[in-house]
Amino acid sequence: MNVSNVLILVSIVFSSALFASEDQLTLNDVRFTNRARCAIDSEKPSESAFILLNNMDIARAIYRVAKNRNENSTELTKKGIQIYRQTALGLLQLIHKKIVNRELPLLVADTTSKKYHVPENYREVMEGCSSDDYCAELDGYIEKIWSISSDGRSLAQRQTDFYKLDNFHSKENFIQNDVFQDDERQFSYRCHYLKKFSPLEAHLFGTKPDKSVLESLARAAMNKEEYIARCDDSSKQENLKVASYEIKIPNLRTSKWNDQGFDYWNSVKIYFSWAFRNAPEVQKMGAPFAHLFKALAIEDAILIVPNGCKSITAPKCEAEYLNQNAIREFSKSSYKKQAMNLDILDSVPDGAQADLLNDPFTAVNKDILGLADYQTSDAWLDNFRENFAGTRAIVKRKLLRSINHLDIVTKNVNVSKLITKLTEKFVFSMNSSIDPKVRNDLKNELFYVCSEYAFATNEELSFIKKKLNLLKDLTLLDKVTGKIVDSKSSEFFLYFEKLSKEVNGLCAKVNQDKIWDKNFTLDKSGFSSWYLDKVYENKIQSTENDRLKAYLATNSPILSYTSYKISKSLDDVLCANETDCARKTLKSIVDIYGALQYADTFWSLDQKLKSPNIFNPYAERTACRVYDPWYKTKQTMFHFFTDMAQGALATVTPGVLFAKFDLKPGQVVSFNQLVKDGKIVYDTKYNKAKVQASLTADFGNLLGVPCAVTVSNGEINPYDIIQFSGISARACNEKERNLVNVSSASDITPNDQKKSSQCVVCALNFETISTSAATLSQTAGPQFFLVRALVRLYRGLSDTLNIPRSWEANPEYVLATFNRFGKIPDSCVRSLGNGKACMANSCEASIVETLYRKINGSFLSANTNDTYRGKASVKVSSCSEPLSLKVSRTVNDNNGIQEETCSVSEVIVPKNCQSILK
Amino acid sequence: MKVVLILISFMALQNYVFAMGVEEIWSSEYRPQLKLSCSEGEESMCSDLCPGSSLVNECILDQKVCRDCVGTSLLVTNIFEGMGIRYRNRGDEVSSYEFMDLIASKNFVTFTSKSVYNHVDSYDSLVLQKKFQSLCPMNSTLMPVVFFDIKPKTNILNKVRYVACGDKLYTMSDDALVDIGVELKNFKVRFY
Repeated sequence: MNVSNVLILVSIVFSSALFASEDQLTLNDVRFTNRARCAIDSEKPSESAFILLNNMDIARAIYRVAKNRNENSTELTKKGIQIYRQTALGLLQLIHKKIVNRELPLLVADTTSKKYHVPENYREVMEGCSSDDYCAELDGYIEKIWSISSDGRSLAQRQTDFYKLDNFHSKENFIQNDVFQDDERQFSYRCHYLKKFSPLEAHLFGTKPDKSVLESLARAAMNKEEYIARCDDSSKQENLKVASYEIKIPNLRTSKWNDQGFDYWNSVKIYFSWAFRNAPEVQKMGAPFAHLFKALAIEDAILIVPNGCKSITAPKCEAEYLNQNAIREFSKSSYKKQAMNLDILDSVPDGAQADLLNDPFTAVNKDILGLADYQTSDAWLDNFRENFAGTRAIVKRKLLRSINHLDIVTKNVNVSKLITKLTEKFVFSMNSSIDPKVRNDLKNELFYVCSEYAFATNEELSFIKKKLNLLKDLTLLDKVTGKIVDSKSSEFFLYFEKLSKEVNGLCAKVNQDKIWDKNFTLDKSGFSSWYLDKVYENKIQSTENDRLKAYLATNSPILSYTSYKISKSLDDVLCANETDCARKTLKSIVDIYGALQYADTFWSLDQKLKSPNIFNPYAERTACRVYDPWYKTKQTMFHFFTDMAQGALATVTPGVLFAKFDLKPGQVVSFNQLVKDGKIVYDTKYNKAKVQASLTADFGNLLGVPCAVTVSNGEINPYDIIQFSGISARACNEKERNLVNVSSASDITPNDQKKSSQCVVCALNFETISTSAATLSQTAGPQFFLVRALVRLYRGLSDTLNIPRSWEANPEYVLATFNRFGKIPDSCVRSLGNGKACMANSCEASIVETLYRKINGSFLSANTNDTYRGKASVKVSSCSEPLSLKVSRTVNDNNGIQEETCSVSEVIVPKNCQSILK
Repeated sequence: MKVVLILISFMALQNYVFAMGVEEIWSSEYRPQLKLSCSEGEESMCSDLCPGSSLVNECILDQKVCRDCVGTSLLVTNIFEGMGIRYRNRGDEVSSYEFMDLIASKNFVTFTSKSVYNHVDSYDSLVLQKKFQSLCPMNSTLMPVVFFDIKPKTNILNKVRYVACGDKLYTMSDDALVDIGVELKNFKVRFY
């Protein structure tokens, strides 16, 4: 019996004037997606996000203040962290409210958009800011907007002020009413503190809501206080280092939200970055620590991460986007074990795009971040924080050492002088009167210099020369170096280019056979670690530092910090000798390259919060077209149509050759890194999707038949059928035209000249025939194709991974079903997975859906025996007494099928339970 | 006559030489402050900087905080790791007027081994103490105070300016002092 639920007006009887708001722990819908749908979802704006807060920096600062003031550091730090968390969450909530209430305009995410109006000054500021370090113009711009939003004037006056400020259009540049269901604006979002990851986040652990998943979800909903808590309840937030929260904007109309969602999130991220430091409201919220909050590098302390597959930042196939998402690696429980194999710690990294080619079909929605490996969500986040901070510290040290080294060397070491000294060394190494061991050591040193420079900078041989050349044009490097030294990075590159040219020239000039003669023994362990990593895959441990220490035991360095005189530490040595100087300069350039490849991962270079899509690795794969979520659907339909076409022709020409056409997916072959406007972009080599045609004769497979197969009439059209037209003996003729030559029946290439060398005695000849003159007949042929068409279509569309599919489960409905039946009945799995209630009858289902909309609390049980008399009662978790309901239940006969409708017209809440009303 | 002129010049010069006690402190509202102690005869400097203050030879000034200094940024890491090595005392004493110019502008922040901006090492660690103490002659000052200027309005940390060693003030430099071996001497590079 089909049951259709009808949602009609519900009038709630108020026994008091008190209007209660939604329960703070109202659960959010859970959206399950398979791989293909997850990939498609990545192009849509998310409705829900995780706020991942790292408190370590502010905690350390407050601890130090407490020590300076001789106060109880434990208590003050704890208090400071609580205030910091509440300030961050309060500010997010305030910004949301202001945006929804049209007190703040939307800041367009894509300033190049032709579809939506982009205010002119805003566009200029954002485009000007992209190449700058700190952008004062952006701060000034946001300050003006914020002061209009806080001036206390009417909304209409504010709209006028915004229009005057920068021509903000009231329709496109502000959140519209129709973004929300029933056009009812939601001024607050739902906020939960996450104690533990649970089936309430089941979409991160699995792709489909089957019976066991739904039952786990029901149990979790029943005991939700074990997993979530209110965001403003500090007593539940025990971990002082980190905290994770889930926020959700309720009651959105998805189709409208898709138009404005990315602009909303972009606005939140930019406003927050400015307001946390400057807004007067934060001065109040953050008291008495607001002054310290101003100094906090807030962009490093908060991540807004989409909850699921949808995005907060629209995906783009750009290094910046891919590098921000690379932060995902740090959140995995397996990070520490795999760290040294990851590209991010490689001496000469390829960049985040390499992973897309190495692992195009990676797993998704299968707990890819190892959430289940941790008892609490704080433990997972703490591991994330530790991995990230630890790796960043390593990269940071490398970068600082390199920049400082280059700064000092370029100012103090003349290239010509260095080369002169190196030349002297080469000459000396051929002096037979010196001790053989000393001579061999010297020759090794020179060998290292020449090999390392050749590897890195030789025009023909070096694969990393091109990568290092990119560095010159990256504005990023000046952003970074400018903070630390006065020298411009261009000075470093000029110096390095001159030095490498001279070193390579010198190495080419010397009599190599005489220096590295048959008595020479190469000690590979003396190479730099970056060289051993690239050339010997780290199979040899570098002893470079030991050799330097041994050298410095009896020699003074040629360049060192003055502190070396006392410390005698290798860290204070800039150049032990000439070869060390040359090698360290090269190493510094290599290390800078390595650090900057992932700069967007480690450093916040823009004045906005970061929002990596850590749960969806298909965001970048889809953006870069490494994965096409529609491919399988296209391929399935393609097969279907070609099968139908062949079915139509089979009767017309009985000897027809069955062509098997396949749609091969487009493939990204390579990502060539280029620098454009100072940033890394990709020049993607992409093989388009192509049709691969293979021939199979009705008398058997032609693969392996020792005859040349030719197909006349030119280009293969996927909708053509190929007809056998006989065997012939033919000689090879290089100049034959209009022939498509193959050497085996599974590969057809047009006019392949190379095939002329494979002369064969016989040829199987085919010709294409048009599909236009097709009619069905009664013979067996067409039925075979029809059956095959339907079987292939069914199989194709049943692909669980690659045909886009999604399900949405409402935890309250699932819990209601579970409470009703004590389990999830098999018959309810489909409805619950489609976001509908599933109960014993339509009245119960209608009751559950109505209660969800109007009452805080979970359905426990219902008495629907009197529904034919217009009455029912229901017990909910939030009220000790049952609620009374007025219902109307009718049964209609629709062409012999009984259709029952049931609707709730009134809910009567007992006086002492009025607070449960939403 | 010559002697008289020299004496007058010397006495005039004495008026310009810095001679204040400098300390970084934190208020009860958890704001960073600078406490200046003026010696006898120098009270006017304190009263100039803190007009209306009831204290005669003391001036307590609120400090700003520098943007992104609470964190593990490249610059702040470089400062704490390089203090005494890349950030060094140039040895030139600073006049009171130069110092007062900086203080009056309010565009400065102070760094010490107890700094809240230190996320490189533990609070007031021995290593950090040694680094800061090495800035002062004979390592004689227990708690040197290093001054950086910050950009107005944005509060972005800028250049290192001074170090206060007791009641003496010296200019600082971020140009590292290095020892160059005789093999490379006399061949300072020029840019190409």
